[in-house]
Amino acid sequence: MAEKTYLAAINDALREEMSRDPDVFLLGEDIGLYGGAFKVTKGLYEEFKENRVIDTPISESAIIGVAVGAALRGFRPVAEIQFADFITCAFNQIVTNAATLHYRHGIPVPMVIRAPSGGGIHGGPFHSKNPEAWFVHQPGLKVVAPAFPSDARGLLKSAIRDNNPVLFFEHKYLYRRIKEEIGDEEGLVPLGEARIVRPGTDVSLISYGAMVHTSLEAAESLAADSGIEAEVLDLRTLQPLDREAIRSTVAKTSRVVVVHEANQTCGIGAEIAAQIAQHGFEMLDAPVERVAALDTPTPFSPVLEEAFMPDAARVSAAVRKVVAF
Amino acid sequence: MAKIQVSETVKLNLYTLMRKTRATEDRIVSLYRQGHIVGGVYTSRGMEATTVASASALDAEDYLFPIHRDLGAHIAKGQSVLNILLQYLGRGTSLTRGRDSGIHASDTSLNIIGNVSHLGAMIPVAVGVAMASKLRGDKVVSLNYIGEGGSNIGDFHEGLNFASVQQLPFVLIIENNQYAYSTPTHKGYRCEKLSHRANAYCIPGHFIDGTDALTVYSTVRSAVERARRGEGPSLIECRSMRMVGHSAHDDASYVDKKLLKEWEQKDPIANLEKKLLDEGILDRDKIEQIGRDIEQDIDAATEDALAAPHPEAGWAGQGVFAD
Amino acid sequence: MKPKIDDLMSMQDILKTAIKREVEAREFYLKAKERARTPFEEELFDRLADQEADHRKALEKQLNEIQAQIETDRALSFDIY
Repeated sequence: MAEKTYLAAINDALREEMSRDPDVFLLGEDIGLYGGAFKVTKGLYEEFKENRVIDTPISESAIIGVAVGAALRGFRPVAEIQFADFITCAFNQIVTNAATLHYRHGIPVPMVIRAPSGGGIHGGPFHSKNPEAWFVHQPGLKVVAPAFPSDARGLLKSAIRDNNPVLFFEHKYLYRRIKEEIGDEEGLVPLGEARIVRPGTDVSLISYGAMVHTSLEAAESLAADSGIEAEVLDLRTLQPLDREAIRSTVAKTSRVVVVHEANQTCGIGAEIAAQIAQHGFEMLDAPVERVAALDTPTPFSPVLEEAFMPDAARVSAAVRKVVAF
Repeated sequence: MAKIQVSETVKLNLYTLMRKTRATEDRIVSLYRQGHIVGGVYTSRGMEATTVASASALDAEDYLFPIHRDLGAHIAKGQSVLNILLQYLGRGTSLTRGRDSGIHASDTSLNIIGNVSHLGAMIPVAVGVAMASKLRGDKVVSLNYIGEGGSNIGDFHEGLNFASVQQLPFVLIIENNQYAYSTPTHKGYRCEKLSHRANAYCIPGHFIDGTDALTVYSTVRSAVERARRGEGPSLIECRSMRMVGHSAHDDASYVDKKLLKEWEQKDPIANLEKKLLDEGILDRDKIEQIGRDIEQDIDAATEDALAAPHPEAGWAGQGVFAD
Repeated sequence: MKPKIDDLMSMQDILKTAIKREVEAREFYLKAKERARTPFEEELFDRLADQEADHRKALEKQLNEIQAQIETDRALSFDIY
């Protein structure tokens, strides 16, 4: 057992999968000699050499297209997009090639795209994005967003072993702030499985990524101040969604607040709220509330960013609203 | 660049395959006019040398990435007329089970990867296949096509640049048929020769007559062998003329009639036929026999394809993810 | 006003020193507990030692936060925008 940061857990997962399977290789900007902009891939170039940790030109579209080509020849590439904001430069390759090749031509594309997403770091509009909803909307892609180091490690390993394109959004705010005791066992976490990180009875907080921690913070203060016991469900995988876990928590508490850091309109919360309304209407005692970022690009000024992003206070306010309904 | 000797067998093969391509396209157009085929039909009259001769320059284990006008490349790589017609007819037994249209089809038994409609989007993928060759240490070469219009997309640059930096076994053919739908070349780019873009990547660039099957064959073969030796990618611009509209519903009234008349003299099939007659490789009887064999093949394939079942409605919603 | 990276670097030093002091203080109270003569004194020193441990944890959290921000700022400035 050792205490690992979220970032170290990702580094471990990459090392472990690359040791296990010679077809796994990494490609991206500055990931080799430099070890990555955030140092996530530190040490891997030295260990696995040039043929397996490839420094690419600044060409997001080529990075992803090349990964698709290598994947269709049986490799398992893990491509890094330096900041999730730049994933839009590769959007066509992802949704047109990676996502559809199996449906159209029966050819599996076993690749992973890793991208540091999220804000709260004073990064401004182009270093803070949460683009997951665009990709959940495209059939043929799996999307994962871990909140804890053990999940980051376990989900990345599962993603690499999955025979489909998987988008792995690692939240940059969590890189060095969240630590967990992790053992030596394989620790695979299956895709498509959510996890209750705090059981409760009065309301369900459904969340993923950094907002899981915000939700936990809100849950603690709600319990202490108002005796409201909130259940926090960490989705972990966004596509496919764990419908059974969602149904189960709604059945338990009858009140739901979805919390995500991405912009509100047409975010994952919209899909979850619609699914709950469609399949769990009778279980609800209040309308589904969403706590999400304002519908603007991420502002730079810390004052504006704080007003833009969800925080524990906003989550608590939403909980009180559904409880009072 | 060493001159590639083209054997008699190859010459005859190129001729036969070009005739087969044209005859198959004629059949596809007539099926389209009869209402059996829906959607887009792109034919390549005048470009058969570019497609057939280039794909013929590959070995079986090499990967072919044709685009929408490259039926000749599919045929030269060994694709059957039946599979092609099943694709156009959208049948359940087609290569894509009815999920993708026309020649947007892959056949892993022939190492053919079908295209998407976004022009240039296959270039990075084809480069990725070549990257796999480098990582694996095998000698597999990847061949992709792009039109002179499509060559202006960003992926052209990103893909070629990546291939050149990594020195990958990748060959890109620019099919310059002088019209991108209705856009003539001078509205697409400024320079006279797109092959000069090779200088931007410090790789060899060739500008050749795309209607001369033997020149196309030897140039592409040379580039493929160079790639196989580990010397990196090449760019080959094949100049021809699109003798038909952009697609079956386009009458190409925007094309200069004088230009069309000029290029009628450069029909790739007629010109190779004349050459092979002169060399004694062909005679009138052989020419007619080849025609009959092709018609027979196409007739049989048409019958089978028309009789093949459509996909079942219940198949919709399936196949998005691999197991 | 948000402190600049240089200020953060010395804040790291300050916090590291403060953490060291908390650890030393805790050790002092634990040593004092060994020489306690009554259960009351034992309990008192225990509580004081625990308080120092709590201080230490709070400071470590602050230090971690600062280090995390420094790493992120480094990554942001590395990426030329």
